[in-house]
Amino acid sequence: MQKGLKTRKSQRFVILVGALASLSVAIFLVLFALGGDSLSLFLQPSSVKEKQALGELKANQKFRLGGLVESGSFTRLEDGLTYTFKITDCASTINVSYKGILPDLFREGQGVVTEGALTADNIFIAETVLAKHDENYAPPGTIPVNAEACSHPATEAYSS
Amino acid sequence: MHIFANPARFVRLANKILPWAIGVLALCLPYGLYLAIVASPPDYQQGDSVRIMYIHVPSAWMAMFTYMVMASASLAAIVWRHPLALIAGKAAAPIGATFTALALITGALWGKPMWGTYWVWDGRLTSVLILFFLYLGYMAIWQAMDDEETAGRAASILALVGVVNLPIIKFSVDWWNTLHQPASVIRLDGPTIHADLLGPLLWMAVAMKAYFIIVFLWRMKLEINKRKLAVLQMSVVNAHG
Amino acid sequence: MADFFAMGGHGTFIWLSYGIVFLALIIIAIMSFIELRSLEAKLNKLKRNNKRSSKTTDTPENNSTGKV
Repeated sequence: MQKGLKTRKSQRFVILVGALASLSVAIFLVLFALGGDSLSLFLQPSSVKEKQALGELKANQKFRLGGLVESGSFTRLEDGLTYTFKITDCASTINVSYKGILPDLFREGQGVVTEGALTADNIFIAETVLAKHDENYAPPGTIPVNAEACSHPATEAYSS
Repeated sequence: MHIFANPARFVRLANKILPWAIGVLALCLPYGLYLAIVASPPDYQQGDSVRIMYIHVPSAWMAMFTYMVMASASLAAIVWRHPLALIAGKAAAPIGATFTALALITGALWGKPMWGTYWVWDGRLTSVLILFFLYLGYMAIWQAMDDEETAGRAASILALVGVVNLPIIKFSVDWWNTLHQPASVIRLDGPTIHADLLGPLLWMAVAMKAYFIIVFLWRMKLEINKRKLAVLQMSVVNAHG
Repeated sequence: MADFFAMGGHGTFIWLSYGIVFLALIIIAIMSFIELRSLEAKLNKLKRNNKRSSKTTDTPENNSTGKV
């Protein structure tokens, strides 16, 4: 009887773990079948270019564009409210124009996520700009662990 | 009466652990807070707002850790029918739900000044919101069903199904483009947090773990007492009936 | 001191998050502890009553009145 109880328990265990494992596999298959794009919050410049080439992305079609603000590309226009900058993923670059208030963390070399649409002459008119933070945390004046040339600003960025 | 043989031993063990956990909390919390708010430097990009990280990240870790506790208890409850397992799951759920809500709230309060928004439907934020609903669902099932055994088993199955959400939360920032930043501490190539900022984070994490142990053991004892009380009341009714 | 509370301009967000976390955690802890204590008290009372009533129900006349 003791043995019978034990096999019943191990049977229950196997059935339960098996059911959960197959359920998990099903969920992951669905997640990845949907594709990274549809579950991603934004497109990077390279995939924007790809989609444009395939004709999947038309002018004035709304989407989110994300990447790094290219160092040295940021300018403020004379009206004092409009900013232009370039968003890059180190492979492709897109020109962006934005009229509004920028978040505190907006800096050249740091990530942003913008929402808007491309004009016919390939300028992205952003309606919202959100700053994206990276994985590095460090005191002012130190060089972050993961600093890379493309993705990181000079360390004096903090003082600005 | 063999049901109470185990709980009695458990209560004795819990009573031995509790003073230690309270001691660890009393030690780590003040020091962690001192480091987090006063002694640690600001971040080179985020300034003082980085101090929200010292409560946000431990809350999020605890939200996931508590879910693992709840799910392990649920597995034990279904497979081995261990009387304490159901109690453990039920005791953990409200604590986990609280930690999850706190991770979401502190994240919003951190997101507004840094990102420029309280909320965005990216992979990380959405999967943590789902975690919160899993906790709520688990507790709702316990509430909704009259029979403890059936309620416990149904809630446990929900908890186990929800386990699939844990790796999704963890890797959402790697699998998809998110506004949320990638992992900084638990990553293959080591932490990307400077030691001066990692210190307060770890002290606060230990403090929150000690807090969890204390409240979890209290709630388990509470649930054990509830059942004892029900049994005693039943026996009183029988004696007089 | 004012600088310390201002936290570089984001004081509201920082203090609010610390406040909410501690309030929520303290409430859960206190609620759990109070419920635990009140259950323990009820349990002890019931145990004492049970002992007393089981003693009295041993005598036949009490048992019969108890059944009425």
